[in-house]
Amino acid sequence: MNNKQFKLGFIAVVLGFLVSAAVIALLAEGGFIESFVQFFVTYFETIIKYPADIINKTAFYIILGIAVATGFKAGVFNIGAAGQMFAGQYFAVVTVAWLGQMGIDGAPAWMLGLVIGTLAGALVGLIPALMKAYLGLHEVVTTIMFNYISIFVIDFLISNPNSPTAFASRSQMETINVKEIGSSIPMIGDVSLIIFIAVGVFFAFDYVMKHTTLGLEIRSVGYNKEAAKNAGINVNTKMLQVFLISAALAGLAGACWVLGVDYSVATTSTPPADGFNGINIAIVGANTGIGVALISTLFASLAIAAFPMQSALSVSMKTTQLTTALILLFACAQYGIEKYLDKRSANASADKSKKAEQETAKLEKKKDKGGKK
Amino acid sequence: MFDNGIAGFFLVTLLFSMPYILGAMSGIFSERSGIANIGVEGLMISGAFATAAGITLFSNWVSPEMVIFVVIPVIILFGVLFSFILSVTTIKFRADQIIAGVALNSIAFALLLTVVYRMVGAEQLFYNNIFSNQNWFTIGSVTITTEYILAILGIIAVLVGNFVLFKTPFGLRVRASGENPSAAESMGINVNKIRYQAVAISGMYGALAGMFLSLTARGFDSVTVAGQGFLAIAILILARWKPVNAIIIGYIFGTITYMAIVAGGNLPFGPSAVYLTKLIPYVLTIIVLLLTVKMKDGAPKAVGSNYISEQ
Repeated sequence: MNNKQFKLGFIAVVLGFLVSAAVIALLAEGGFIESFVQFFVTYFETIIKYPADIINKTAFYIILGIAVATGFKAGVFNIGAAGQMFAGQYFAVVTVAWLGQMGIDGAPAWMLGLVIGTLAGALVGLIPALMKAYLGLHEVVTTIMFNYISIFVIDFLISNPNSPTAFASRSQMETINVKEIGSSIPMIGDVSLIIFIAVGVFFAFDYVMKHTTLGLEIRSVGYNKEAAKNAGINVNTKMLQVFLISAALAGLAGACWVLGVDYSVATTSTPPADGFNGINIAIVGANTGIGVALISTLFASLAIAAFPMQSALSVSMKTTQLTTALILLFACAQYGIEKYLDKRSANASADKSKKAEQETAKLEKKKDKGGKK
Repeated sequence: MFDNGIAGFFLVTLLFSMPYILGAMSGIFSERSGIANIGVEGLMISGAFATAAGITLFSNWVSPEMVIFVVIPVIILFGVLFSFILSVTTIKFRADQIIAGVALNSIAFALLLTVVYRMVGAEQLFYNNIFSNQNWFTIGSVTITTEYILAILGIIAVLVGNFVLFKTPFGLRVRASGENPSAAESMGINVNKIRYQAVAISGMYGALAGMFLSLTARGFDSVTVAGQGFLAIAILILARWKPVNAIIIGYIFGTITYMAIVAGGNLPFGPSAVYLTKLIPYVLTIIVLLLTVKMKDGAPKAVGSNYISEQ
């Protein structure tokens, strides 16, 4: 993340906060000014009161954001992260439930759960990846379709008592609780150990992208497919690889979330909204490791602030989603912000050069005077 | 399924198909002008919200038979306003069109549910069946209510859109902006102005698609739209960006969805069968995409790229 990207991202965040606070203040029950101030007070109180929850959510968001960013690096837009993540969640639970029946719990159980969850994510991404790499079908539509295919197949598996994975269901709405069967990822205090997995993914992404041939190849496919082809890179295979890595990471994110923080999966009629947050995080974080980490922390704090916001301002739980949506909007409209900044700096430098001219003129005058003396 | 004869079956399935057909038309207008529109979902959300809020607010003053006709202009206004999120960010601020569409979807979702919460203290707004006492005329045993008349009007609106797109100078300009914007500009067309107008029309169709979703659900909540905007985009691709094809394919999708819902109750899987029936349109889309992959795709050539005027 270079200086300019950081500056533009920062401005997008500030604008997103201000505009959403204004909208929310208009919709809150109290007066505008009090509610506007209350929005920020509640937000900062949340950070102080629930640091552990924020760290747990941040860990999940980092893995998910890096999943989507990996795709973007090669020009693959993985909107399917939501469905892949959901598959990761479900099959992680299925795995630990199955091991639980055989009397295996604790670390071996959740480790295998993470592996199977990761593979499940990759599996959901496989068909769109093949369609993209070998048939040229645009991934935006196919991955969106697979979001729904994934959630409805899993809903069916959860709710049908005769399904092959029915042993992992507690009721027709929900899976068993992985913490109750003793197969959850351990915690230090209230902080789940998934934060270490997230840090690992973060460094791996940074290292692979910056220092390996694979990273260079991925980036060149993203910059210019034709040039990459001419340089001897097999573009189709590379896109397939990247797509599968992206989907696998989304699956890992889901598995981490369910085994480390949330503990069970429920049926849903829409792809989980958190899955789409991965896209927002990757974009606002400019597809860089450090950017994704920073924005993940920010979005995690906003997600945790949803409930305190509702009780403090008696507004909907969706209000903080509005903040993230507006940050995304301002981040993607960076050209406008950039143009404005350029104009200002142009004006400023024009002022500067004017002043400099005036000063040199003064100096010259002085010199002239000195000369005359 | 055929309790009310063929005519009844046709009308009910048409009603189910309208969100797909109008949603696809929404995407067609935008994409034909060169702006990729993933935001159809958000436009539908705005229309569904405007329908529910409008009917709730206006039914105090207007009789239930007529209220929907008073609300329709409000619905269109909402769609056009939300379409500006897409057009202004992509045209004026040169945002990536897909990302701007994603932003439009999430803003519409979060903002309008917040507004609904403010209105009724919950994230759902439902109204009574405003069509229950209506009877314009009957065909066989089918009572023709305003819903069916709106569906027919919707089809006419799509046909009018088709005429505008392919038979009028404005439509030619829209298509030129989507195929080759620099050539269009050299012919004296203001490409970006045309794109603003086309996206506004897209907003109108998208909001009307949302209206049908709200009318069949009799309200608005977080799952009223739930992905049907994305299905509409898939239909637009299968329809090769042609409105008449969109009517046919949208109708096939709507009919299959309806039949799946009706048949779902009879499957041997009990209550979980509902998920299998929900799965059908999405799987069908993938299969049709695979089958038609060799065909010329017919996408407007400049779709997805922002046009920066050289003047």
